[in-house]
Amino acid sequence: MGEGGLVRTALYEKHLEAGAKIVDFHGFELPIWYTSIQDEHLSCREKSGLFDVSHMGFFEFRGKDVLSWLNTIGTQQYMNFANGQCGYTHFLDKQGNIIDDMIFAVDTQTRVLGVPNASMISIMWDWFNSNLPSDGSIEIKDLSANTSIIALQGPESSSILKHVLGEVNNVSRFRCQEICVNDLGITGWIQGTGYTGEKGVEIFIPDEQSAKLWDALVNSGAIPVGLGARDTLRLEKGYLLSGQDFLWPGLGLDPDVELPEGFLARNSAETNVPFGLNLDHDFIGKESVLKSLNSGSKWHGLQCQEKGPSPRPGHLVLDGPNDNASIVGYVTSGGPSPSLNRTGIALGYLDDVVLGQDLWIQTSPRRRIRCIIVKTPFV
Amino acid sequence: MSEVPEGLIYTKEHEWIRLEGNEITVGITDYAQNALTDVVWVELPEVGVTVSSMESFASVESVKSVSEIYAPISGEVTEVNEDLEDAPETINTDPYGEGWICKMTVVDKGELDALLDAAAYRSLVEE
Repeated sequence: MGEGGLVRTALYEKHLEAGAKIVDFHGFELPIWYTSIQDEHLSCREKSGLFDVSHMGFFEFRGKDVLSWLNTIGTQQYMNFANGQCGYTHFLDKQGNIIDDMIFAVDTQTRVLGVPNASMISIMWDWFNSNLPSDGSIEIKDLSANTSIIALQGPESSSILKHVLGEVNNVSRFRCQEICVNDLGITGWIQGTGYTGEKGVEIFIPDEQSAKLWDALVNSGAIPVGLGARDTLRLEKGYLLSGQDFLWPGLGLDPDVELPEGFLARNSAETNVPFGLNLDHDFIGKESVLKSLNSGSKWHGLQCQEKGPSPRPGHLVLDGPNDNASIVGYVTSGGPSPSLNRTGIALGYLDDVVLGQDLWIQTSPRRRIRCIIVKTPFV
Repeated sequence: MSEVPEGLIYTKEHEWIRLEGNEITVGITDYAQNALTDVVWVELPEVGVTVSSMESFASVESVKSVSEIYAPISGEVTEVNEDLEDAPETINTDPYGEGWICKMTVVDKGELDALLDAAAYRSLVEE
């Protein structure tokens, strides 16, 4: 535990040694950057990035029918998942609003691991428990407290991983396994997932092993990257950020920025995210998703066509540059893209628009920047 | 350790002021540029605009955040550093030189007395 009730991860000292700028991130003391967001972002795209994401949760689900149960509560079709396969899913409430998005890893047909977002751990714990089958056939364990999560991402991640944990642990994209015996003596779970859009893995290990693994990865060339670049990396790939691009109304929280009432209460169809939604099975909230499939506001990518202040969450999106222009939506995520020479990029829910259309973002009280709707990912 | 040159006037909001005759040049300090890291955009004030002390009149944007720049004193903006529009990173590389933001006339020199000298600013950022 750090100052003011903040939680320090097992890697806190490692971050300080590396010169990290530490911030309060959902109650955790975590590095926002070590050198600069720009440099770390490009390191991850071009070489490697090493992230401490121990603030995220880690749940274990066991039971004979665990996959068919998951199928009834989530948007992903888990029924046909083989052992050692991962998948992305949304969990919706009965009205269709996304509660959280998560990656699930199928270890065996009776054991599944899931990673809730940091700020949603207790909410998802309660929600899963309230939706368990009444016969007690499925058990959940919260492994978050003593688990460190290290993400190794980027084009060089595979060679670094092979060097540190051996070829046997070099899992490919969306594959997963128990960590196999290795020279370092690291034990736990590894999966070919991440939040950067690059090749890479997320490694789940006991806290007491995390410093050893972190050092070994750094000594083999992995470059520490803070949460600032983690956000710009996911922005460029058009990935949703829980709490910012959708916010479950059941939390009773206001968004961090000013938006119309209920603006972030969204279903999976509205997010337009091209994976994780399978309509061939029934799941909680499906009716609302079906209604939104072909109409209504959708989450789109916007790329700025002129220099100026960058689009940021809460900025208005309009259909023209003049005073009589109409509002078509709002930005939920945005900023300068490090990979695109700092061109402004944004994601936002927009009404009745088409790819390639010109729009304008009010990026400051004095400036309206022309942008076009593009298909994500941006890079 | 941040650079805090002697002979400049400083604000608690991490701006520096160079007084020459009845005109000041304004920029952000080495400490501020270091805390922001990569500056990606500077929104300059308009030449000719009259501002009051502590009024937000410009902004400096880094990859992750936007920071307002407040007029350190009341006066009229007489010149802005348009080079920053093409090379905002100059604020990182030369905050006290080529990275200046704007020039202003001084209406009331007394307002400058309320600000910090180098020693006072140095102790502020070293706290």
